[in-house]
Amino acid sequence: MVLFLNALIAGIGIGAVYAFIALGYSVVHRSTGIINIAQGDLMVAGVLVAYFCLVKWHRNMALVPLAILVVVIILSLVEERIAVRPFITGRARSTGWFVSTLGFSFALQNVCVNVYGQHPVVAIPGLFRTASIKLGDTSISTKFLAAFVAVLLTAAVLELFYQRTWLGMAMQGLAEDREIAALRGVNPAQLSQIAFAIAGVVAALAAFVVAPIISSDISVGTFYGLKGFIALAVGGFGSIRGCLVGGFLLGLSEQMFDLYISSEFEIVAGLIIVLLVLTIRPSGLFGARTVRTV
Amino acid sequence: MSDRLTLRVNDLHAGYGSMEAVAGVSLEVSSGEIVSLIGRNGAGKTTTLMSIAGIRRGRDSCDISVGGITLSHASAAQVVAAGIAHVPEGHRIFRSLTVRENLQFGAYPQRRLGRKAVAASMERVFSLFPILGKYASRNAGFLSGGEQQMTAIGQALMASPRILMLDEPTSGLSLVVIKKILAVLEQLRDDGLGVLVVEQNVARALTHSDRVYVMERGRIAMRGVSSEMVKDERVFDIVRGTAELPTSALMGNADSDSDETSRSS
Amino acid sequence: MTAVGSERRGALRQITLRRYLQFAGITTLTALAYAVPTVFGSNDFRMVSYNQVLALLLVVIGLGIAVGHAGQYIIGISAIFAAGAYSAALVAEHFPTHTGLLLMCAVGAASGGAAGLVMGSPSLRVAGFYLGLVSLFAALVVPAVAEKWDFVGGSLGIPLFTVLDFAPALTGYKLYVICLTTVLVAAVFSWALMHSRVGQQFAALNSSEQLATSMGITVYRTKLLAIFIASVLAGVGGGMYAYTQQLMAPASSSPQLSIYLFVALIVGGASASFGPLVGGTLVLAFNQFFTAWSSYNGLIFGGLLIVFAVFLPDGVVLQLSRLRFWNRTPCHVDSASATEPAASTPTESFRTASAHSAIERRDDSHATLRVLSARRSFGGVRAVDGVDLELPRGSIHGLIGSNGSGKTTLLNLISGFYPLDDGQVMVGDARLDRISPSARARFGIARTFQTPKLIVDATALANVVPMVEMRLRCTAWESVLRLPRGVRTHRQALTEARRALKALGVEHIQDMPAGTLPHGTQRMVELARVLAARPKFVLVDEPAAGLSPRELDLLIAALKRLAAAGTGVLLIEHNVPMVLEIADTVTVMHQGSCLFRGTPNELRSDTQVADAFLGLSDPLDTAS
Repeated sequence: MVLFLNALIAGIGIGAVYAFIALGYSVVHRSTGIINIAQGDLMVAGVLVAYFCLVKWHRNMALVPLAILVVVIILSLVEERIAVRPFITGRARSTGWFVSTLGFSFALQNVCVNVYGQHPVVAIPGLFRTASIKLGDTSISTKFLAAFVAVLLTAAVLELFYQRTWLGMAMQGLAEDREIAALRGVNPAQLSQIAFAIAGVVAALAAFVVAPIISSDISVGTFYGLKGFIALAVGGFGSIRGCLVGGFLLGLSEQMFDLYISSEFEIVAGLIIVLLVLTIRPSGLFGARTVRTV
Repeated sequence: MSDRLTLRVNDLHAGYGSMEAVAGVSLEVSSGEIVSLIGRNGAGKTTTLMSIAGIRRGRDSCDISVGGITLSHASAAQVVAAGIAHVPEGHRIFRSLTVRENLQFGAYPQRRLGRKAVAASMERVFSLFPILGKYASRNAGFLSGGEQQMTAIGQALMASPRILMLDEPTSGLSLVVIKKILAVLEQLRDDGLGVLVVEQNVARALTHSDRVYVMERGRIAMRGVSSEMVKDERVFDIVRGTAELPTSALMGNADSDSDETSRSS
Repeated sequence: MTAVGSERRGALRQITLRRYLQFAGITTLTALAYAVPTVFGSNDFRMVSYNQVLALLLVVIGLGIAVGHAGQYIIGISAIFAAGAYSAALVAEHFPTHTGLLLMCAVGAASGGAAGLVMGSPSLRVAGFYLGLVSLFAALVVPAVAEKWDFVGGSLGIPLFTVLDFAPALTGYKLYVICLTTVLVAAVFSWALMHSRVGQQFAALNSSEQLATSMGITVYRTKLLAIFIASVLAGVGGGMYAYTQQLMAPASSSPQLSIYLFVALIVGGASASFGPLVGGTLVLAFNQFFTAWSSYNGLIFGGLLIVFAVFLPDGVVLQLSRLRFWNRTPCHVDSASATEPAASTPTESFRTASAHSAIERRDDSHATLRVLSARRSFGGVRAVDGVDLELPRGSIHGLIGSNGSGKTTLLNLISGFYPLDDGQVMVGDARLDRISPSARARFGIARTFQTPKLIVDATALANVVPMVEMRLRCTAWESVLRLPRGVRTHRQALTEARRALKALGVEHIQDMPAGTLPHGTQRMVELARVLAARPKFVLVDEPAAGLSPRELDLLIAALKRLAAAGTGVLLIEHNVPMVLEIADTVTVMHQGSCLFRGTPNELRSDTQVADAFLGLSDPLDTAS
């Protein structure tokens, strides 16, 4: 029973990280139709910043969130400028964004790995005072709890953003009918920049909560990036709820697979889930009826 | 009422790839008048309006100005900011949003003016189209074609434009709705708005507008005052396709971008 | 005429020069390739490295077929490569005395192909980059699983150099030659494939699934075929890898490898026939031999991807081939001057066409296309509301109506691109509405699109040929391997395609890429494609839009001849005078229903209907 609860909590915690990445994808995809393959790497870059601040330079904890935010947002905007903008403005062939963001992801990964150097993975000192909270027989790991709470809050804020603010509404319109949105005064290039900035914020938040989970393992950018995409695919494009459900579903199935079937091949769980969902409901669990797969 | 504003288009060229859909169009629309743009399908009317609105820019240089502001290379957002709104054909609105949300969207360029200004604009739209007030909370995807078209026009009006362009606003709609829309356009004209309408039905265009341009194969073939043109057989000949030009020469169409499939789905 | 003639002679001279240079270039490069060990060193370590590059080149060539030709982004091809390599290594491990290079490659091919089918199965539901990311995830899963799986040696993998009795018979230069030859054969195969009827199906698929369907291509099956062929090649590469490296470990096939291979493809050029080879050599050799910067590989290759995506999307090979230096200037021959000769030939070409079709006609001359009570709604809008239509073979039926009247929707219903909500579509006794759109195309229902849909990168001729080949009996293998029947049918297809282009006055642009042609000419090519298929029925969607007066005359002539040859023509048009001139019957649609059906003369005399729908009188005036 204890094992089950632990797996449950871990599943939700890690699922929250996947959901975070899925949210980042979703924000960009809604406004531009592009999947930013480097989303996972942006998060990892944020973790690197946390590592430097806390482990190498022993700075104050208070500095960390700000530092992560600044660095990740800048990286995201740089990516938008060099790897995405040409495809929004139509200067380059419109399908090249895939190759371009893949290239940026690859390059960013490499930079992070090189900057980190050859040291072994170390824990990033406690962002939270207590490692776990006791609840009856079990203890809930605070890092998972934090991830869970953080992603729910972020999702809620994003929902509000899309429903209540002018920018959010403009982005929703842009996603549904670019031409009409443009005719009503929405500037697609400007909004793509803003979308990337927001995705940067989401990646920074994700970095903050994932740092205690992955420690300083800088190599997992692609790993989380792809998992996040699976979460998005399962949950359905264009739905914030979908990102959450997709992420949690993926995290939970991995942990359950780990517990009940095999602890070594938990990654297979993701593959099974995505193939199942794609076969039964290609647009994802909460996806819009029109499948936007390209 | 503010002073008279004129949209001037001079020698507009626009095309798709190597096909020139608009081959030198010059026209003018001023505040307080309704101008019709008529012609056979493929004459280049839609491309003309889209170019003015900042979508699908022409390749050659064109000369578009409104009230002294040059818009020749403006983006769509800049065109809207200059006071020109365009309602493309096909009653396109955001189906996932409610009527009220759609109208709200239209006020995006005016968002800085504050909530009261937006509410006032919305009240004005509701007074023009009462049925939208009735269905304000309904998802636009569930409205009829005519109601969607009214929403689209209302959405464009929310930005308080000085010039309103519409591409076949009455196509495919029932007579009742058509009457309503035409009446609203006339009321807007009386309130000082300049209206440029592409219309397929020649008789309707001539009866409900002040001036008219006839387009044929990317150019303006005739222009004049609507009430006078009603009696001119040549207008009907051009549109019917039986003008004195040799048949084969007549049949060159310049663009046909009426895609029913995208509109119906 | 002489101006055109001398221009053509000059162009011909330039083509021969270009061909000569190409041939010389290829021969030199091939010779150099065989000489690499002599030039760059042939110690054991070097040889193993060369062979590794060669094995991976096979994978890149496979990737080129799937991604470049067919547009199926199976980026995660390293997973398939791993499947092939591991299977081959396992066989070598358990049966060392019987296993040689050939067996390992065969095993690799089999398991690679199987893995490819599994990875490709979601392609039914997901497309493009979505598929790419899912496949990349698979590429992540495979080494992760392999690392923990004892059967395949866990993280150490399968080291064949420790297996007793496994003594590779081929070593040194001999092995290199065999590997290199395999790669070159694969490259030639890829080229042959691209220029065969299968390759043309891939190109159509890549261009537009709708286009492919209208050409009778079953989309899903063709996608899987492309993925399968690529996977077999990747599997062979895997087998070769295992044999030459004598080791297969999880580290040998990471997602990073997939990305390197993808970079190689993009750099060389995904759609160029030798792009994968060139790009692969450049990238893999760089990766292998310039290890000084290996820790910055990601940055360099990532940067390369971005640069190529933005500035050189077609890759190095195609950019080079576009240099003015050896390109003839495209003929800006106006259709007017080119149609002088064309005017005399159409009758001749259609005499033969009529002769053929006369035989067809005798068989099912009574088969009429019938639409019964067709209904189709979108959301709450009734696009087509209970429409009946009859289209006998050999007649022209005009379908006119204002925007929003449902004409194109009806066409889509007949051709199968939209399903019917209610009603039937029949030809004779056969119920068409029960079969897929591509099956209808193969049955003999051809169609055009409002905006001409062509394979933009292929020549005009290459756009028409597949439709002819659809009619001619020939298997895929015969086409790819250039067996006698394949060659014969291809030649026949070329002749008939040329004839069709001539009939529409566009034979002078047959070798130009379709994407560079002006709109009117594209429309003519699309019609030539339809003509060449000799369909039972053809549905033409607003063909007159954007045509010059000369082209319009050709269009009218072509439609008349189609009908004369026994094809039933459904003509959707806004150009009413043209319709009235050539149609046998006319249907006027308005708001989804049929407003009028009769002969053109009847329509002409019924001025009320004519004026109302033409908009010459306003129904508002008569309403209350």
